[in-house]
This record gives sequence, C-alpha cells and structure tokens, in this order.
Amino acid sequence: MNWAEIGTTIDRCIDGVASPEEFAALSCELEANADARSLHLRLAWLNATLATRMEYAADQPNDVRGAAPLYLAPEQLVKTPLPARAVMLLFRNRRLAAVGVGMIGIALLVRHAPWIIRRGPSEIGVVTGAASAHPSGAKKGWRVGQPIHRGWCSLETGALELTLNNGVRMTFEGPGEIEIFSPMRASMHAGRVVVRVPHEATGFQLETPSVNVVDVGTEFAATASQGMRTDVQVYEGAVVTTAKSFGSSGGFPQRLTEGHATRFSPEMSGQAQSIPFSPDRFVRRLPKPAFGGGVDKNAWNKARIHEITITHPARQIVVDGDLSEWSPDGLFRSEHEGTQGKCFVEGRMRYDSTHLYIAAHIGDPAPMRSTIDPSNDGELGWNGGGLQVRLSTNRALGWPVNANSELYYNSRHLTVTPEQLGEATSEHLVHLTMWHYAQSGQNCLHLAYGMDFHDGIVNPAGYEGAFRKDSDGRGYTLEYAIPWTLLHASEAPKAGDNLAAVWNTHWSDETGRLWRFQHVEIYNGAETPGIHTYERAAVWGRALYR
Amino acid sequence: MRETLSNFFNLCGYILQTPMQNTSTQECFMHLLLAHEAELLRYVMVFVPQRADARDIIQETAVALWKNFEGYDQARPFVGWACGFARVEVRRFVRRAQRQRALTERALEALLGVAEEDMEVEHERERLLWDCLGQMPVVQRQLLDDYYIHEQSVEAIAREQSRTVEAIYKALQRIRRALLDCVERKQAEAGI
Repeated sequence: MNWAEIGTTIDRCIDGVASPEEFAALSCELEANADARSLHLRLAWLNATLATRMEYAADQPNDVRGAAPLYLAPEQLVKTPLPARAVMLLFRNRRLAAVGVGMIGIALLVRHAPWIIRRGPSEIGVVTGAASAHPSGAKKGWRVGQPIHRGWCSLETGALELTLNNGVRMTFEGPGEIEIFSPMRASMHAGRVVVRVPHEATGFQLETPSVNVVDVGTEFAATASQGMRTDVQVYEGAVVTTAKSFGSSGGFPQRLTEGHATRFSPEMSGQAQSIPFSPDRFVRRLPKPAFGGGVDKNAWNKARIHEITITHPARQIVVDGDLSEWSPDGLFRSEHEGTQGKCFVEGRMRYDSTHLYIAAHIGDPAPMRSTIDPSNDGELGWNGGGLQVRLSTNRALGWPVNANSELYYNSRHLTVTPEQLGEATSEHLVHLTMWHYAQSGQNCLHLAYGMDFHDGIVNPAGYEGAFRKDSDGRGYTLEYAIPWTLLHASEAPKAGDNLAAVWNTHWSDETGRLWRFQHVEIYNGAETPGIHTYERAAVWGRALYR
Repeated sequence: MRETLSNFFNLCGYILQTPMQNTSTQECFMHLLLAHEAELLRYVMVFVPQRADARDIIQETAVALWKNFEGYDQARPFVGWACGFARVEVRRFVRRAQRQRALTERALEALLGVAEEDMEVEHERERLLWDCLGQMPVVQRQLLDDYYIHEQSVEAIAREQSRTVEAIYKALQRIRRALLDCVERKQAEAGI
C-alpha cells in the first residue's frame, strides 16, 4: 500500500466501512510500518475525541476550554447531584434500588436539577405539549415551544409531549425521568411514556432498567416502575424487545405486535410475561386542560395539623360512603386554593379490636376519575387522585419512629449502615393507598410495608372500601375498614397508645390520569417541613389512640 | 448479537447483586466511573473505533473494574488503572472479532505498544482541537455535530443533504484530516 492508500484505509476502518480484506491489509501495514501506526493512532484519537468529548466541549466558552480538562474531577462530581442512574447504582439492595428509582423523579433529581441538562449545542426537539407538567423546586413549569437538548428530563407532576427533530413524539408522564441521547435513542429510568415513531425514524430505541425496546414502525408505550419492572404495550405496528438479564448477556429478542403487552423484571431472568393489553393505561394524547392548564406553584401544602385522635366508633360503622354514623371526634380539615379552585380534605380515623377505620371527605373538582388500573399499577394508585395513610402498628416503635428509606440517605449523601436500613424494614410500618378505579368501579387498597415498601399487595382479601360522589360533583367521600391483620399488627392498639400516622391526600387532573398536587397533614411539627413522608417515618405525626 | 445500547443498568444489576461491598465503596466506585466514562470510552475507541462495539467493551470493563475495585489504590489516577482493564477487554474483543471487520491481534498489539501517552499532553492536544473546531466553517461544523453529537447515520445525513453516502464519508474524512493538520501545526508552534 502506498501512503495515500494507507490513509484512506485508516479512514475507512475508522468509519466502519472497510471490507475484511482492507482490515487485513491495514493490519499488515500497522505491524510493519511505524509511520502507519502513528497516523492510525492520531486519526483514531481524533475520531474518538470527537465522538466522546465534543458534546461536552460544545457548551464551554473558549477561555474555559483552554483552562482545564473538560471533564469533572471526581471530587467535583461528589458535590454534584448525581443523575438517577448513578444514585440507583449506589443502592446495595436491588429492591430498594427499584423503589429509589421509582421515586427518584420526586425526591432527588427534581429537587436538584429539574430541567433538561444541556449537554450539546443543538436542539434535538421541542416541547409540543404540556399538561400540569411541573418539576418541584423550579419556578416555572414546562412550556410549549421550549427546546429540547440532549440530556435528562424529569417530571414531578403531569405529562409532556416531546417532539424530536426526526418526528418521534414522546408523551412522557411523571413522576419520572428520561434521558434523551439523540433523536434515535432514549433511556427512561422511571415514569411512563408513549412513543410514536414515524416511518423515517424506524429503529428508535428506548431503554429501561429491565428491557431494551427497538421500534420497527409503531406506536408503543412503556413503564419503568418499582422492582425495575417494565411493561411494554404496542398500540400500532410492532417492536422488538430484549430483556436484560442482570449480570449476564441479556435475553433473547422478541417481537411484540399490536394489541399485545408484556412485562419484564429482573426476577424473570430475561423471560417476558404476557399481560393484558389495556388501551387506556397510558396517556397517548395530552388532555386539553379543563382547569385552564395552570400549574400549581406548590405541589403540596404547608402541614398545619400534627396529631390525630383516634377513638372507638360511637356507633357501628357501615362501610358505604355515608359518614352519618361517624361522630365529629378527631375530625381535621385542611384546605388548599389551587388553580382548580378550592380543594380540601376532612379526615377521621377509628379503631376497635379487629379493624382500623378511615373516613375522608375530599373536595375535588374532578372526583373519582382515577384511571389507575389496580391490576397493573397498584403502587401508583395515588397518581389518579386518592388518599394515602402511613402508620405504625407497633407501640414498640415509639414516636417519632426512627426509620428512613435508603433513598433518604442517598439523596442527602448521608452514610447509612446496614443496621439502619434493617431497622427501617419493619413490617409494622404500613403504607395504605386508597382510590376509586373509575373504569371498573373498584374501591381499591394497596398495601406496602416498611420504608423499603416490601411485599406490596393490591386489593387484599378482608378489607372493605366505599366511595360516594358528592351530589354537586365537587368532591367525594371515602370510607374504609381494614383488619389489623392486614396491617401486620400483632394486636390492636390500646387506649393510651401514641403511635405514628400521616395523611397524604392526592388530586389529579380532570382525566384522572395526571397527578397535580397533594396535601400532607398529621406531620411531625418538630421535623423540617417538606420531607417526603415515604422517605422518613419520623415526619409522621402523632396518632393518639383513645 | 449483544445489545449495543448503553448497558450501565446491567452493571447496576451486577453491583446490586454483589453483597460484599458497602454502600460508600459503591458510591466511590460509581463516582469515579461516571466521572471518567467518556475518557475511558475515548481510550477504547482509539483501538475499536465503532461506538457500539466500544460501548460493549466499556460495559465489560466496568464489570471487571468493579470486581477488582478493592485492589484499586486511590492514590493513583483512576483512568490509568481503568485503562489497564480496558486493554484486556479490547484484546478480548479483537480476538473474538477475528475474520470479521477488525484489525488483527498482532496489529492491535503493535498499536498498544506505542499508544502510551502522557495525560497532560493529551489534554493539551484536546484543547488545541477545540481551538481548531472553533475556526471551522459552519457547514463543516454542522456535519460533525450531526455525525458525532447527534449520532446521525451517514445514510441519514446523505438523505438530508441530497448527497451520496460516499460523498459524506469523504467529507468527514477530509474534515478530520484538516483538524489533525491544524492540531499538529498548533502543537509544533507551541513546542508540545
């Protein structure tokens, strides 16, 4: 080979278009010719630098570029909020990791870096729709027309429609986060997305913690949720899914076609499980805002009530949504004036030797519209509006309860010991989520235990629940009776017990799909306001059993 | 064929299933890995230029790094330590790729033998490269953006620009050669 041929062949090898014969010929030259080796290394270095460093350099002004290496030193990175994938990598327990990722959009990234982080100089798309789309901690919500750059996008509330330059349209539903690498590739770490891929962009790739999805001309939806679980559902056309088998080379690619849905999770070792196709499960088109489309500045209230008195029922409770047999004892009321108008919750609790009773009257301009299907998304039951109560059922845990989720430590860069995490897994810390699934009319209950949310179960046998819509259509009443056995209490509380409890009331948009805000009450006033109640049990207020 | 998407979550699964390390060790490891991911990828791409292949190699390298992290002396630069493991994975890749589109093992060894470079010099060269990029005509810069940042295929760029695929390859090669000339001219001027 002459010098010109060597140069051309090096270029062709770098670009991946050389034939096996050209690779062989170049290899011979490289073995024998020092000048060829030098040229190859210089050109390959240039290509590699452009491919790996150009995006970082592009945002740097010239004087900065010249002053220092363009990557962050490790000590700088330690002070920088980590992206969710990094945080996830830090969790030792996989289940906790999954929970962490499921909540990461609310708890960490949204707090620190709610906006897409600019990594490249060019826009790769634009926000073409926003419904109640808001990251907490930011002054403004997403707005239509806002450019999209490569990098992270996180949402605490609502949904966004992102249209990429190649026509790919993603309807991304929070809470969650998605990283957009290019118009042909994205990775969703938490949340739900519907992707519509035009013919020209066939081959678009979506990655989640448990599966890679490659479009072959279609509209498909995917979730990334607790347990590193991913559900993929195809509305039109087909996709090829490849399950990730953790620690090995991955699963065998499978074709999933229109009208079908499949579930992937690490426990399945690369095997997919067919699940029912549920056409209304995802937001395919953003709803038109009936409430003016405004975004509530505060995703939650300032808690004013720090304890609740729980008494025996004065009359036998009939779970029918009519609270006329409930006395006003222990009633609390919390109000919020949002873009939807006045929202409120009035809550009461009762107990006897067999059951815990919960009653609430909730002012909600879009009552009982939740589209959260308990058979698929029980752990997200709050997302479409409803009530969550967290409580302890063991007086030995005392008050305040000293238990934090692993996410609490990691998001604050606190050192955590295995003992601390072990103490937080008590089955006597119970998370109850209650909502009305509009499509089937089910009055649902989801239970999870410990600050690691283990053993989640939806609609377990033994509980009773009722919802009743207000006559003016501006609110609803809910009433539940839950056996202590389901709450893993070894015995019912006794009069004089001071345990822990907290209420989170959730409101969704008018579609019953997109979460808008919550009220937190029965919050420990000695704790810093604004700590997520799922992260730290010490913020739970006092439940006075009398 | 292995997936070529970024496989950090496979690594994640691996780490999460490894019981012997404590959280702070994992945190330290991930900080280092994430901080130097791009630099490691560049190192690998010098020998295996195709991005998808290089990402697979990085995945394997990351697993090896994690397995051996207890032996890492934090007084030493992480990249240098990590590149040692990356070299092993590059060799393994080239061995597996024989009779396909890859250099021979002997050619690879010849390149590895001369590829040691002072990191300071490398950073300086990179700085010169950004200077040269800043002087580049907008049209050429746009082509580089499309190819390297947006990872558009040459075929897609050709379609967009109504040019042939071969013409786009040629244009990329000319731009790279011009950039290399520019960098080396500036290096000579600066006496590096």
